[in-house]
Amino acid sequence: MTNAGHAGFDTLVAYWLDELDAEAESRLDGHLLECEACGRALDEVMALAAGVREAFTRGAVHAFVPESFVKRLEAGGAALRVYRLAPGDSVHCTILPADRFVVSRLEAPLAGVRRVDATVEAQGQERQSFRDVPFDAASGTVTLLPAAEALRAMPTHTERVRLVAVDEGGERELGTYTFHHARHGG
Amino acid sequence: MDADATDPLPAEAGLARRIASAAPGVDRAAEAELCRRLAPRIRRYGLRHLRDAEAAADLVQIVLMKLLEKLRAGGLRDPDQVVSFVFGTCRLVVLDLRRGDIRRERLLEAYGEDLAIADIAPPPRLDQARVERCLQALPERERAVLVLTFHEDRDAGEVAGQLGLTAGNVRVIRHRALARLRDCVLGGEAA
Ligand SMILES: [Zn+2]
Repeated sequence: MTNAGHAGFDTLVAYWLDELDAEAESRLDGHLLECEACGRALDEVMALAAGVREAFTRGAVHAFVPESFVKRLEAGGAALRVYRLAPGDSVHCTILPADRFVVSRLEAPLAGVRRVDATVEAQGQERQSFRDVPFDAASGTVTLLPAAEALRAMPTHTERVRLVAVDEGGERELGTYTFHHARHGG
Repeated sequence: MDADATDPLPAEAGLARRIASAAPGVDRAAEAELCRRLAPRIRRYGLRHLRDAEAAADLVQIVLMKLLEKLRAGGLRDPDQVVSFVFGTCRLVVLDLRRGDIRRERLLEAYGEDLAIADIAPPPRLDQARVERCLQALPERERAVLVLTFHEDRDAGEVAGQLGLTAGNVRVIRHRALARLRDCVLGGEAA
């Protein structure tokens, strides 16, 4: 906390996430019952947190996530449709109304890799590129949760995902993965 | 209006004094004003410690009723102590609510129409479409850290364990990501 006991943005984030020690937390609990300015700043933190949660839960954004997070989603009861692909594989895929998330688990030789970029092509044209995506070197997987909302709206089509390792020497292909997507209900 | 942001206590103490001195009558205006001021703060306490909007709303109702009862009965000698009374009551009631000792139905039975007293403004929300555009525009690692953090409100240590980073790394990325997201959502920087 700074002068006058007001809490900065990072302190409020730490407070919201239960990262403060018991004494600091209690002090801030008390301060927030007195101080409307800090209260409104906490409202902003909570609103950003809720916004991120809602965006992810309703499938408005994509995310590259660790496997442990997928396990957590599964344990939380979320209906997952999982596709697992080795380099060069192709798969027929879709998303059904009951599916909460689609999980694309891409296997790749990731030992010693520092940075991974991904590109998505459709009809031979690059549609999206993702730089420096999170990956799990130990299990050799890059796990993408596409934005379910956009996926539901997509027509039947074929998409190719390409993973490359990037280092000082340039790019090295790790694998390409082909998704034949069928739109549910036609 | 914003004078209370810097020096909030005299206003609450003054209202508490009015409520106490109105006894055996009831100063409805002072009570409503005191509730209006305190309710959002109690709700924040409840959201933080109960992590549930409905439970936080229950906390607001219970704590305000206990406060008004205490004030009407002249039980708070020093009205300056109104905030510390609220703090102490919040703590106790949160424990009760966590144990499930208080159920909403019982609450409604006990207090009936008085519950309307704490008819307060809902917590602020952001433009969700804008949040989503801004979140989608973040670098991959920053979006991943925010999703892992806020999907279930996990601390930096837990997120670090999932991503194979240190907690310090996660705090740095989280700070940058939230700053960028906030600027994008609240500033004019449409993604
Ligand atoms: Zn403050």
